[in-house]
Amino acid sequence: MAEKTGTSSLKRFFTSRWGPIATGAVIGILAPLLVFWGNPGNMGICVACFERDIAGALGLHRAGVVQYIRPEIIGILLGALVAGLLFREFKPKAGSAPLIRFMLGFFAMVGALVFLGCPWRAYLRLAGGDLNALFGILGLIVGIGIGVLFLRGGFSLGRARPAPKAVGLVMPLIMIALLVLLLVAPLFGRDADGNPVGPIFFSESGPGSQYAFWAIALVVGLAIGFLAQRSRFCTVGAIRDVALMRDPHLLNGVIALIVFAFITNLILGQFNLGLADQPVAHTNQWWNVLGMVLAGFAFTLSGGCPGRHLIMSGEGNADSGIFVIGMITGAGFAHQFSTASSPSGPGAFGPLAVGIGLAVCLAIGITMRQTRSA
Amino acid sequence: MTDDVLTVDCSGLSCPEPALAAKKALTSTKAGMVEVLVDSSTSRDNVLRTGERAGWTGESEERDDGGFRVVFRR
Repeated sequence: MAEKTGTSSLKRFFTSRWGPIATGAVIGILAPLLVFWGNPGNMGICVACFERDIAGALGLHRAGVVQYIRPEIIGILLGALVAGLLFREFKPKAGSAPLIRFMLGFFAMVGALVFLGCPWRAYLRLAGGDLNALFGILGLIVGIGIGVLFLRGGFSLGRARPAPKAVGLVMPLIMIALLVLLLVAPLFGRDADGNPVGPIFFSESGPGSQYAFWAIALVVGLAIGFLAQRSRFCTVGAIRDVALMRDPHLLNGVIALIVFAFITNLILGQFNLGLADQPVAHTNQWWNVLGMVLAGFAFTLSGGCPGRHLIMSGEGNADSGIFVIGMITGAGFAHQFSTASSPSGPGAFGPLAVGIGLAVCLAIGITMRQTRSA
Repeated sequence: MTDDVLTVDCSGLSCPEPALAAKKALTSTKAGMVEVLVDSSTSRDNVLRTGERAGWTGESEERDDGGFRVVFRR
């Protein structure tokens, strides 16, 4: 059964150099619009922040200002599922060091929450004029660079194997369950005074209380998930591929994201240049850098940025699903253990957690390797 | 250059290992033909792009198990 690559022009477009550029441009336009429609500042889309909000909504942490089931996350994963099914790229697989991937997701989240954003948001913050993001991006580049050294040295998490369809459907079904919980918003728990509370928590103030109408957020997520699945958009692969193979294919997408988000923010009056008083950001540059060194390192060892792992989860990759669950769990711990930053600066145990995370990632980098057949 | 075929099996490996392994093989081999086995269209595209950037001519075919065989000729 031979199939020439690129049987349709649509397929060709998205796998051409224009695919990541188009995806980056669409994210660059839609993310600032989501802010305009109600999302927190410079947080049209943030995979780390939104998974953290989901962790809070599920009661995995009790930081009252960051609890909401973000439909964007649900949409991105399900959009990738739809694209995967349509283009015969839904291929369930599993079994490449799942527990290690869980740990990488866990500590990637710990690092991202010290900076206050995933790579997507780092670029979106920059495009909104938040110059603190430059330090986060610097850290991201350093972290990815460390990961690249290990990849060059033969780092590998080993092979995944094809898995039954059911395995690939677990993450999509979890997303549908989250959507049901968002819409039903069950409140049958009771606090000490008998007031309804939980099991799903919704912020009444702070970033968690700021959101675009759920259907809009869901549709935007679906569109982005679909496009990103087609184009393999990845904000960590962007830097990694340049460092490792001098290949700018994915980096062009990130540049498009920044340029289009910058223009859209200007048009919407959301561009605010400076370091101080930026939305959901702090000015401790050491920890902006070091938080993202950890995140970039962990993302690189895991094979992609958090958005990419949502996409691959939608394609049936259960190892990416484990990574996502690791991130959500990490968010729960980050807030319960006061390692996450706030606008006033790093959490009390943020620096310690970054140190532990770097040690764990180094240990993973040193110990995980496999002999290749070539 | 020889008529040998070098096979690099990258099935199941995650990004960027297939492209990295392909590049390593294509830049060091004396073989006239290199085949790279991958299990996803993402890896197929990455491997094709990497090979073509290294000056080889590549084409891919789908295998019965849903994976791809990418063949490079000089």
